[in-house]
Amino acid sequence: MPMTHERWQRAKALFQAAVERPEAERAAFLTAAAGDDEALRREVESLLYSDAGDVGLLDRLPVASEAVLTDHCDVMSAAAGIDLSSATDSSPRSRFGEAGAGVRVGPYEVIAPLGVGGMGEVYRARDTTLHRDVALKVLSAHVALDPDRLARFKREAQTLASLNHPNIAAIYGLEESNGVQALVLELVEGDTLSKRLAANAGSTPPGLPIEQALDYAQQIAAALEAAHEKGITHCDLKPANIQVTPRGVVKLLDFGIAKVLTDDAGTTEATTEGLIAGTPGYMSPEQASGKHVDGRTDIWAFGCLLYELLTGKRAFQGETLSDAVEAVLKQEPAWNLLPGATPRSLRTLLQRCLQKDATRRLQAIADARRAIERAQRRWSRRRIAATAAAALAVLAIGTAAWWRDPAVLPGRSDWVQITNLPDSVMHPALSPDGRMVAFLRGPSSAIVPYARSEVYVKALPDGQAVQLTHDNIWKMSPVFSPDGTRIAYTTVDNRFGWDTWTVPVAGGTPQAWLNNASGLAWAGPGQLLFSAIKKNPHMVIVAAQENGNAPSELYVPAHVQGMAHRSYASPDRRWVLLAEMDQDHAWMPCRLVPMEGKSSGRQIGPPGAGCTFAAWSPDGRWMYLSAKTAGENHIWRQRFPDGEPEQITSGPTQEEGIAITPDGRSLVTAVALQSASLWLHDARGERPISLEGNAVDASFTPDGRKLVYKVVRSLGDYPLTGELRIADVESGRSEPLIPGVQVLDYDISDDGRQVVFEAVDRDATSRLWLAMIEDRSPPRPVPTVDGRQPRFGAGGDIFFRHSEGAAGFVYRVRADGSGLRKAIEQPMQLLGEISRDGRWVMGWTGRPDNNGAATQAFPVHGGPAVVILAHSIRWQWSRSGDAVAISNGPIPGARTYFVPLTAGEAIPQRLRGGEWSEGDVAALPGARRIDAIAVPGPSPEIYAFYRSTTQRNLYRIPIP
Amino acid sequence: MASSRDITALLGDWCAGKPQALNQLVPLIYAELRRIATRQLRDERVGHTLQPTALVHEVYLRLIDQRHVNWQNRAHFFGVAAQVMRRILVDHARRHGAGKRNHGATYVPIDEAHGVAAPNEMPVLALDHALVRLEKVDSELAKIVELRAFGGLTIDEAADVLDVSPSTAKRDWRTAKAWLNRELGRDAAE
Repeated sequence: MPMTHERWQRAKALFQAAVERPEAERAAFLTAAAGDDEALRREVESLLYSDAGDVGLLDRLPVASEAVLTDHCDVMSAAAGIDLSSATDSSPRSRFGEAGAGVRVGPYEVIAPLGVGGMGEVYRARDTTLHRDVALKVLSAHVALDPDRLARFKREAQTLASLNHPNIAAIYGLEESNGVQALVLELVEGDTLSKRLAANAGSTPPGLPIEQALDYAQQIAAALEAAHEKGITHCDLKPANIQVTPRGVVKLLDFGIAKVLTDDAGTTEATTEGLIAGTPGYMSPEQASGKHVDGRTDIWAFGCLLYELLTGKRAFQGETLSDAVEAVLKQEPAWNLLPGATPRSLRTLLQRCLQKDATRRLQAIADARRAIERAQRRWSRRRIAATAAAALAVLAIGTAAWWRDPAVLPGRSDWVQITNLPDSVMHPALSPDGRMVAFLRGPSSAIVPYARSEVYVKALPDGQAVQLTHDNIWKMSPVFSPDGTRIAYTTVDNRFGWDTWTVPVAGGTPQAWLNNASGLAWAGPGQLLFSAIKKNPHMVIVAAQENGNAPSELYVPAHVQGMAHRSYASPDRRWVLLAEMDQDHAWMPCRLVPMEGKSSGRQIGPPGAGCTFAAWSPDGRWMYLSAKTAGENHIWRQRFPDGEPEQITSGPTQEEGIAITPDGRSLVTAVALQSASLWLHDARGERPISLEGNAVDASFTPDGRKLVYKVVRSLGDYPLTGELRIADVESGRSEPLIPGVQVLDYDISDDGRQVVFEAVDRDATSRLWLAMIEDRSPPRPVPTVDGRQPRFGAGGDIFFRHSEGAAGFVYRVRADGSGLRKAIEQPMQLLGEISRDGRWVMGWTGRPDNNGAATQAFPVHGGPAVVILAHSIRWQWSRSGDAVAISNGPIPGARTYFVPLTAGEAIPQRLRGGEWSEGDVAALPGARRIDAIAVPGPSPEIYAFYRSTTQRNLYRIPIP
Repeated sequence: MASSRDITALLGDWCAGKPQALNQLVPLIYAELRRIATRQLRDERVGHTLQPTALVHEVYLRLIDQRHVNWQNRAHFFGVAAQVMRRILVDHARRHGAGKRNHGATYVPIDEAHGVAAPNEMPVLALDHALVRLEKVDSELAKIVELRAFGGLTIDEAADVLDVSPSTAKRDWRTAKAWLNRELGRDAAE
């Protein structure tokens, strides 16, 4: 019952009167005072109960950690009236003399000055330890000699160093040496965006081409998104702070540095040192007026940037602070300068970013990024075609989460993704210095051993992938030359001629190099190993000099149909690992053979495995193998020469291909992931609800107007935890349902007002929570023992699975934690849905006759279970209970049947007993087939479904 | 930077019924809170944690010219400061999200507030949300919580700001605590 003001005042008065009384007398007092007003009595009782509790939250004081108070962009300095027009340091003093070359700061050797900024000089320097060039920002004495500011600076630098994003220039650390304090930064080659814009200023139109502007804007937004996620705001975003590499990668510079160096109280210092809290023309209205500043200030600046990218003009003109403030606070940008071809969605986005009132502005930069990406998709017909093609490859997804046994997999948080392409990236090879990776890229449908694909190269960690070949023929095994200038690769023509070509790493025309030579690898300077066909198809391993002279057969497969495809010399060049196929052209275990002599060596790795790639650790003590066992491709290793094979990757993804980093501490492999997007089908046709992330576990609200789903980072991770989102079916707009909470499983109540969900707390215990869908108040725990897989059942009770030793049982409890009891006597492995009439609980568990496990329906009111099917299937009742959706398992070509139910029938008679086939379901009256995993909606014509594709991308995996 | 006398005058103006004075007062209090916090952190007291309520008191001593302020003004100052403190904590917690809660604020029991780094997380956002709801049910109760929890006011001071008797304030405080503790659940006590 809603608590009206009047009722609350009564409850409050009763409570206050009751607490004055001795505890023993309160119940009687309350009963007398509340009369038969049951709700009132319960309200006061609950307050009394709460009052009598132990230490409550309010008996504790809030204590702010330092992060809270050193968090914001410094705006108070602006409020106190800094003159921002004096932002540049007019009297630079070079600490290293005129050029500075040769000076060392720790391991960094200064090469040349790059420039002078407000905070100190910037130098190009050589990192003598890691052999890379870096930018050194040598802090000016004002900062370096003030211990307070230096300490704060260091703390902030640490935070900023955690910003690991390809579009943010990385902070590598802080170096202190001989009294010099220097910030070590990623050296970004290229021009600043302001220079690019200036170079374009004379052209017509003065802005960048829309496609390029969108590309830059997308990268800027992605960088801001990553930073905002960590609570870091830039606060000084402008073209001069954005660098564009020659390959078109945008990098934000000086992230948070303006903020770090702006002292919170020392406003006069800030002026003399030229530190700024925003730049005229890009500062937000709240910055200009000295108000509280947050991520929305960056969104404003992003709007200014996007405007300038498109028009070539500043959104707000004004060289002095007062002019700029005037413009920012009072003027609108000249919208008529936008090119006529600017999509409407971009105009809307600009207007939303440049709302003067921060509360009415676009609130999340992620929304800007998505809007840009949508515009990009529309802009490029080619990309639309590609998206459509990818969407055609419909695989079954989503049930996997539901039925997969919750086995614990090793954490994958330390896997670093190094490519992010929508199709298949395969055959990684690292340059000798480990700074570049070459790979093949092909369609999603590519099979890995060799496929129609192109050679790409990418600078690590975050250069852009550059396509080096454009011939659309079958390839395999790219490999760098020992000097790192060329990539050799195998082509396989349609007559199965196997040849080696090379292409310069820097780009250029591919050259045919060696005929009848494949799987080529260098075995030291001037020395090659490759495969050659002796008599088709008998393929042998040959050692030869680089010019092709002095070939000698190293290994000849015993069977004349056998093919030895790839070979890898040990670092000391005394041994060779090789991958071969048997007479049926199935991959065999890898083989270890000596370089000298004619021994055929021995098989290594897991027995019977199909081993497709191999590699050596740099010290030659480990052999790494990419091997398929029991249908799963994973990485294995084995101690040279006689160790036992051990598996070093596992889990639901498939890993193929191995490149070991020069330090021997990690490997690069191609990881196959399935991704799922959620689509809606209704009278208007089909349209995507979620293209971002992987959508799983979708469910309509009872009124059919909203769709709740979970977005998981990767379908390869398990358990599949993710944020719940709620999408409006009509508009397609979605938003987080319980922001920031990683949910494992959930259910929506029959009245559509709340969700019950499972989330893991800090001690790794699964707990159940309730959250209201509409008012977005913070979730409250279901006060009970730990539990999993919560479902709303009859009478609003929450059913859940609770583990007891090896078994799990289904319990039920009221939302307030009372009435806890076992709901089903039989143990349960996985808890499915509860029928809308509340009479049946679906689950997956052992059959009553001990004859394996089955999908079964358990009567809530007791009695024997009804076996549905020996397999695991997805069984989802429609919200109104007038139909059931039955989907097959997580295999390609998934199908769902919507089966109408007659009144009072939750399980069609034909499907009881477990003896039926797909054809029987299809033959049920009114059954309708959907070629996807589909989720029933409010009517048979409205449903959601998943589309999925396989993506392969390269990951760097630490070697245990 | 505005002088102590200016700030005191602003406070006087606001108390005298000029709402626009508050707009100027809030950023000054905010800046001073942060400045003092930074200095305290440098001294590395209380294991890198601060008591906002103590901070608010220190800000008051620094900002307000004691000779030109009366008891009512003092209470009103704390009322504003409590709001500012709440906003700082909530804004921070909101930006850092649930996933990074330990970068936010923490609760320690009153008795241990000195010298102990708090191990427990404080659901600032949960408290804030609950307060928002309490405001709808009973705004007086919500106000007293803000004053006590974020402003560090005693019952008597809070009573003064709210213009109620100390006994009413005491009763309301107890009621508010019961209401909020019920709302927030007992997870922190577990």
